[in-house]
Amino acid sequence: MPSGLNFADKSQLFDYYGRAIERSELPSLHCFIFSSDAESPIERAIERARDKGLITSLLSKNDQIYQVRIGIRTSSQIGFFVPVDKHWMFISEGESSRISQIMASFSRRMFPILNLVYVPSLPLLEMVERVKTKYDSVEVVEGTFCKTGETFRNWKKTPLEFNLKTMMGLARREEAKWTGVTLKFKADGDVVFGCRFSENGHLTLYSGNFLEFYSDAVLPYIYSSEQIRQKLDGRERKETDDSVILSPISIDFKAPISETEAHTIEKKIIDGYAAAVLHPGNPMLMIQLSDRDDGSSFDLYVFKKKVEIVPQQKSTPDSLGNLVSLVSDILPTGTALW
Amino acid sequence: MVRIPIDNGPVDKILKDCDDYTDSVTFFSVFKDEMDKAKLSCEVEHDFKISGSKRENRNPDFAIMKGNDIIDVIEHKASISSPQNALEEFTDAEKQYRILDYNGVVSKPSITVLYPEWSRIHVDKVRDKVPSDVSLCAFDQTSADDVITFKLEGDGCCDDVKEILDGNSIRFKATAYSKYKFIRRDPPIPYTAFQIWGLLYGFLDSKSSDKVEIPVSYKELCRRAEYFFPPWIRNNHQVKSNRMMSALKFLQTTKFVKIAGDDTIVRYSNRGTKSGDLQAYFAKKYAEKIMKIKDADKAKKRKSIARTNVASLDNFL
Repeated sequence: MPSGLNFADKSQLFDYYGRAIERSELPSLHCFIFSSDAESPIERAIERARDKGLITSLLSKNDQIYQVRIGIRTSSQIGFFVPVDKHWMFISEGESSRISQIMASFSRRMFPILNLVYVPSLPLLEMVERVKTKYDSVEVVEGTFCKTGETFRNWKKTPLEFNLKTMMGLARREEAKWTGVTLKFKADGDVVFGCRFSENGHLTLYSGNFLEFYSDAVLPYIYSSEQIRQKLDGRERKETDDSVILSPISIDFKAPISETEAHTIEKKIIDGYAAAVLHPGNPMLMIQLSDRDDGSSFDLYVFKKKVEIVPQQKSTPDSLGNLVSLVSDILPTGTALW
Repeated sequence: MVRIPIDNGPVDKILKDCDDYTDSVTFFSVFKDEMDKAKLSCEVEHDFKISGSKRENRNPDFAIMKGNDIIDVIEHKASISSPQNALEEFTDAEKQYRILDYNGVVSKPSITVLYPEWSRIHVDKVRDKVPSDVSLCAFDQTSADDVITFKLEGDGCCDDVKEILDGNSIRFKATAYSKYKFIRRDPPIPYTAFQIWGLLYGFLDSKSSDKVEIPVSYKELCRRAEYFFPPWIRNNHQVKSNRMMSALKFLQTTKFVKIAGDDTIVRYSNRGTKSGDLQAYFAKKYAEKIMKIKDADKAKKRKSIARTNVASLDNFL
């Protein structure tokens, strides 16, 4: 993308990308949705990037459109940050796996100033099911399954009509969860837009109308992520004079959790958090952990068929969401009760 | 929890103590709830001032009351390390609680000591020497089944307590530990240090998350810690402040915090790679510290022996 592009406002930016996609000048357009509770998060993120020695820089700013180069190690990506409904959307073009790696890495380093939103597998499919009613049909082109110990793609040779029950059945059969799904939204026999949704805040537009994609994919996705955030909000341990109120999140499993899986959870947590392994598993793994970036703290218990996360003194929805996502990526078949 | 005593060195020993403490915190929370459910008037870790003495007091783990009369005392032992240790614990319980003169009421409570099932091997070796006033009760705290089972070995306690302990079990949730983090018994320093370190993170907000050092008021830190003490010891300032300050001083020696000269402000650093199993790290540092002190003591002793030898030689000459 040329770095000299300037847009007066959001609609100009959307027009530009809309035309480019319609004319097939771009193979794909990537949108990353970030949540933030900080004031002036983009300026702060750039300042932090400088402190951390990243090659991230502000190229231009017009109205509330920030053109930014985000650089992690030897890779960098130019794109635009625009505010969308209390969130920030980073919009850019490029090769999918490269750009998603850069943005995931950027999000980890920028937390809690900016954090990629999280829409777990089931709410993601439910969201598509809701949007589907506006179209004649929604076709599944491809999907990514996350299974214990592996992630694999499942290409559909013959088109599969999107249906929540069918999708959940496929995941159950594979003992996996959907982490991403590529869909074609059709009306009057034409493809209105083709896009991909992922659990981790990443949406990709491959073809069709940008504005339809924005209103029927980006905005519902943000709405779903906000609903998840609300479910994760206000869960810190509360104290009255003579009692304590805990608001745990429980993730239930049909099959027993293996020692190897529990050990993987332990290892991932020890790598990323200030933790204490209070019981090392067999029969129960119990870890107390603090998020070193935003100060949230949790007790995590891994039982035979259940993982329980008990928020402690402080618990932000973003930090709790990241922890739930960590567990669900290792143990994808769980059902979260929140 | 099925606990197998570990004896691989000082770090494992400290970590085992931390594990035992965690289990004890869970036990106290669960057992107190059980007493409440049974509608027993139960004081937990209460200070009973001994009549006629200004200083002396007793604080049994659980005291079952009938008015001012203490009818039952239940002591909980998280760990019994040897037959000798078992005998010491049982004899001490008998000495402490045989007669309790509290508020002018002289009580002669029944005494029951709970010990972990895995240490039965030690208890069996001294069973015939256990004071006759003391009833023993083995317990098994197993998180796999969320159950604590009891095997009462005497019949000294009151009927209500007997109903709970005699061959019975209490269902519980291991997450009960998340309610509180402390009981009155002093935890190992690395345990408290980790708890405080977690509390310090709670002072982070989106404005301070990038700062290298974050000042925290000692008073505020104590206030936040207070919520992790169960209600029955929450107002015991001596317990809280001693524990907090020793752990903070330890954190200072490990370069995790700096305590300002007036001991009121803690500055802690949010930089560096302080992820990992920090309790295990603290245990290692603590073990090293203990070893250093022991080595210094040994060196001191050697020196004094050498001096004595020189002196005796001088005398001889």
